[in-house]
Amino acid sequence: MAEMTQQLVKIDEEYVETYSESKNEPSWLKKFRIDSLKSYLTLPEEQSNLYTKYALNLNVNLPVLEQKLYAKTDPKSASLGEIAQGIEKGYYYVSTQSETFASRNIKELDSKGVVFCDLHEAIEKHSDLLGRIFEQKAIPPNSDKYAALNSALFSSGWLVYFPKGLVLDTPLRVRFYLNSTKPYFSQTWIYAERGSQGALLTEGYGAEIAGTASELVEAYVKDDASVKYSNIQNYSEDTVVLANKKALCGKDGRITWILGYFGGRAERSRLESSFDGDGASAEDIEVVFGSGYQRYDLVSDLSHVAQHTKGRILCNSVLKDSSRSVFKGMIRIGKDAKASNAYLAGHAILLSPDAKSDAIPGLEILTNEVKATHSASVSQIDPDQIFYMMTRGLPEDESKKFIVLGFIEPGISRIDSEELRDTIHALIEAKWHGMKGLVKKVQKEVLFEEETQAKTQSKDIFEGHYKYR
Amino acid sequence: MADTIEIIDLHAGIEGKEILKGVSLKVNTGEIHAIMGPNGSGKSTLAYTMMGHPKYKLISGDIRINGESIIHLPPNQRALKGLFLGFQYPLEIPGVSLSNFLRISYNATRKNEPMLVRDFRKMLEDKFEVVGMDRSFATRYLNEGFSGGEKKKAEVVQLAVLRPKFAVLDETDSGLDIDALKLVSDGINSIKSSEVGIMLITHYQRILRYVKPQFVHVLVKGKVEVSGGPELAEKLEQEGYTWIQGAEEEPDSAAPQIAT
Repeated sequence: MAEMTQQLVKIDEEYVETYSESKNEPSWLKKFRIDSLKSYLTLPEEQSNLYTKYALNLNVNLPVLEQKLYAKTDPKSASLGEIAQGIEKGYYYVSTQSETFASRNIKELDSKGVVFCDLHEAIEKHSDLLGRIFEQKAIPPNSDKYAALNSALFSSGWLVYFPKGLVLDTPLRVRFYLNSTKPYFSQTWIYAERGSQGALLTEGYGAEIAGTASELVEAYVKDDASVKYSNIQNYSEDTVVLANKKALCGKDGRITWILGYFGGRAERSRLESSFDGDGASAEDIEVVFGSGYQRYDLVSDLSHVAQHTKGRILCNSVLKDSSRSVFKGMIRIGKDAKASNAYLAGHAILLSPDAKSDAIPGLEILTNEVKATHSASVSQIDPDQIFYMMTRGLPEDESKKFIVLGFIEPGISRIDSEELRDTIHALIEAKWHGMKGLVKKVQKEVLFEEETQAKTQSKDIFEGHYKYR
Repeated sequence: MADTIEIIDLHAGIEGKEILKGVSLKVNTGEIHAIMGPNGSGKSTLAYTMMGHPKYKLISGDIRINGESIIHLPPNQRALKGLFLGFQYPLEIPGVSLSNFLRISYNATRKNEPMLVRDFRKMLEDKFEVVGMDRSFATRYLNEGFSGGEKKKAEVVQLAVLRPKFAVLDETDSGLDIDALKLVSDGINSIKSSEVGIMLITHYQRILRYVKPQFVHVLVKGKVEVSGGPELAEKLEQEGYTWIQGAEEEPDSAAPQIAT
């Protein structure tokens, strides 16, 4: 009987209002949520021939969400202790939809003036900072239908604040495990004050369930600040993932995006790096390893507003079985963005005749004296490369695997955690052999010996003339 | 006792065109054979066919190591039997470091004597030194962004590390300046022993000043027309190929299309 009543709940203004009040949110946040819901309802359904072409069936709408709202935790899902395996040091949170665990040393961050907390604590203790962020919201709800939906319904979140001039060498980490079909909506805000430097490394895993994960990430990179955001998406192959990410970079501000897409049934990702101050820059490296029937619809844009700004995007996709991807990127150089420099590349290796990929770079340039380059390719593994490796004693399948690993190495080598790099290699190994699920045990026999020099080699990976780049 | 690789009346080609028209050769470990010949004579086809490149089709004949046919084996298993091919145009493999690649190859070809990472690194550095390459190449991605000469030196480093029984070196000397040629020759000479047989495929005689073959064979239009000792190379240096019947220069049609 109770369940019947629950299914009648409607996601409407009243629902959002009641939710906000139950969490003791400030009134401006309640209003923000209500406005966001209005935006969601007003914004047209996304139309894209790519969706039809790739059958990216998100199946995310209010009736579906209403049905899933009261889903139970999957009884087979991992415990916090199991999820935390491998994170030995550093500042981290381990979290599921129902519980959160904070590493003890997070308290040490207080003395440095760094804030690293979840939504609940952010509202309780850092309401002013949150208010400041929402005043200049990098992703306004009326700009994107799914960002609007997230903004109305987010019930989880992470706030990161780096005070003026602080340099934090250790990346902050969040490892999240989706343990219920209950929709998961989260927002992450990284606010880096002038001259600060820091990194947030996030991972998403999940039980073998048909989940829904919507994640919005915003980076506010003030003058001379530098922020690195990394994410490994490894949800189950039944989970739908929605992502919106944006960085606003001030004068000489620098954003680095390192994104790995391995999980999900379908992921729709929208990312933008915006250069509002002179000399701002972005480096955006994304790698995709799709298998089965996975679908990836990825957009990454560069918005050059100010002068002497520099953006670099590289998206390397490997598609196995019947998986598919679309990578679309737009370089926008505004009328005042003189002497800007943009590079956008999307490359894909197809491992099966049923795998498909498209890379669609675009340019919108409103001023002279700029440099904008884009490149795109979709190919199979070069048989001569396979032959070359085989002549050195490697079996054909191993040779292919190494070529593919090498292809996505630019993304993986930039992950600031040896243990996570090992996990990713093990994960790729598992996907290569058609195995599913969370890789819990990191194989001690690592594929790649650690090569600090190789990782830090100054060579510009973006402008190589190699055929896959 | 010496190991032997035998090429027996080999007919092979590419894309339906017969290029090797009955090549027979026998190489023992401890010997250096120079395979010379004008452009289009089938030198590279011989190298690729021996290693089992999928584009090169064997029409008839056999290749045997110690009497055992290898023609039905994939390239990696031929490598395990002790065969090595030094490429005329080595391929670039981005994202895979030379050192990692070579260690994996080493352990694949020598399953019984795997080497520790530290020992391996030391050995690799010694081999780099012989060909005058900086040790920083170990962590560079395999051949990516290497100059032509560096690629050839890296092939010799791979040869020296893997220590095969039979090394087929396909124009390892081409495109090298005189200093690089000397270093590459030093590298080849450093592996010269009673345990390795070398087939040095070359268009020019100049590498033979540094790497001394005991046997010289001249391949013309897919056949070994003349075989002899080192004096044959000297004769070729002075007189060219034209004195050999049918050895007028042909368009480079049979040159491998492997370079990209």
